Amino acid sequence: MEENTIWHKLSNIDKRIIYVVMLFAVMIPLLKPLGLPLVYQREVIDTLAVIRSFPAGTIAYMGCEVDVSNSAELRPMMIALAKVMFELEHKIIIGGFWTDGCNLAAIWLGPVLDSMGAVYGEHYVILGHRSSPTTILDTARIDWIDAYSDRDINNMKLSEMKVMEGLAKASDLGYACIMNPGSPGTATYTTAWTATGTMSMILDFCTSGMYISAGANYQAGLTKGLVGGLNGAAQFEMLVNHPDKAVRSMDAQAFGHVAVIVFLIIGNVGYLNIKKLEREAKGE
Amino acid sequence: MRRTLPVAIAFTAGMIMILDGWLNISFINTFANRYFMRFITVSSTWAVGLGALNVVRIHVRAIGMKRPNYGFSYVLLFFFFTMIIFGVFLERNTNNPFYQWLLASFRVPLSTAVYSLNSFYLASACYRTFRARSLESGALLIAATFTMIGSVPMGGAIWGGFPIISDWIIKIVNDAVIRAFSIGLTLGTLSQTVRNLVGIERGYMAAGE
Repeated sequence: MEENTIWHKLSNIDKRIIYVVMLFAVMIPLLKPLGLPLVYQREVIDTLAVIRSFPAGTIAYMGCEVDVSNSAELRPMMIALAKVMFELEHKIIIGGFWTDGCNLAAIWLGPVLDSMGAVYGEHYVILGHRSSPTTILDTARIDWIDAYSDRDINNMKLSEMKVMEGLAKASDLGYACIMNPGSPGTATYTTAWTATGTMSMILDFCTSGMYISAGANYQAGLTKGLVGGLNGAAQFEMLVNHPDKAVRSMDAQAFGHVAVIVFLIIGNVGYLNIKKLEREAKGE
Repeated sequence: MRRTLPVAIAFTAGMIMILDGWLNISFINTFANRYFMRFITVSSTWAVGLGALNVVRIHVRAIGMKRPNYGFSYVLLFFFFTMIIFGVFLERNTNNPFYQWLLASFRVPLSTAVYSLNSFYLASACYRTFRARSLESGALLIAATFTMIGSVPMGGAIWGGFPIISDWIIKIVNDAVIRAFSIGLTLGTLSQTVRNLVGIERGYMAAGE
């Protein structure tokens, strides 16, 4: 059987061609966004409704379980969430167990909140990275200040901060929004707090990779909110009237997906026709 | 004694944590949280220290033996000690401007660049490996295609049914599988925990002896 047919070529495209097509598929929409309309998911709308149902002065926790690897999806969520939390006058307690989580929160959220007029220590605080999340979260059920050794990311005393007033233990939190890229993630918090009856108002802001398992937990009622992937982040940005990076990136992601699908179709058309030719050559 | 003592320690530690989770008895909860769990913090902190020492040892040895690409070990050790000196010793927190600059100007953009390259590798890998070789792989291919197109705005713009099908695949088909998987995983973890607690499983001891 001839091995240089059109089907063999379709089935074996040079990877450099794939890279160039992907580059253009992602770059062009980034440079010239099309502004394709978003399809809003019920869960994203409901998540925002849950956050908005809490009165001013509510103490809210933001678990910045983020790293640079998942920043494309979680960073826009964090920023949009911080903005809406501050606008609702909720006190924001920012923590995290990923090594860079709290440092990245300081870099990404600090300037955004400060530009909106938030005062560190009064409206928000960054607790700083801690190892052993199970220990910290379990201790925070009984004594929050003790769990964090009375120190924030800047080595300042938590007990002297206005934002900490009313937060003696985890059950004093109104709700907790957890950026969820894996472990530690939302499951760490639900195990420590929801399963022990400490507090159940945990909202899941996950990467698209975690969306499947996060969706199962949300459907089961283990979490009370779900925003998933860049698509969820874009919807959330639009719903809180702060369209930003996620909205701008959605077209690029859409074209990237379409490019992958086109390559999948081309590859499979080539593959199936080669199989057909092979069967014909064998006389089957 | 060499076998009994570690099993006794593991059993006691495990039971304290189980009782803390199940019972609302003040002295057990206080003991577990205030004292017992501090061991976990201390041991995990030691583990970080040991990990750091191991990294230094491996790369110093690579330089000493002039292994292939040992030049990269110089770069790693330089940034390793720079971050430690500026992040730990100078201000005893991570607010040092030089530390912040290294994080924001080196670590973040370099890591972002590396991770963004993944999309290109993924596209190429999908094209090469995702072939309808059987009925099952064909079904997977169709489900993946619907999920991909349905999870971006373009899917909805092409045909309103794409997001609905994508949602159905994720929320009905996948959820059922994920729940079955989770229940199986949990039962397996429970049985493994019991085996560890009662000393049937001794893999955590040296060679299980």
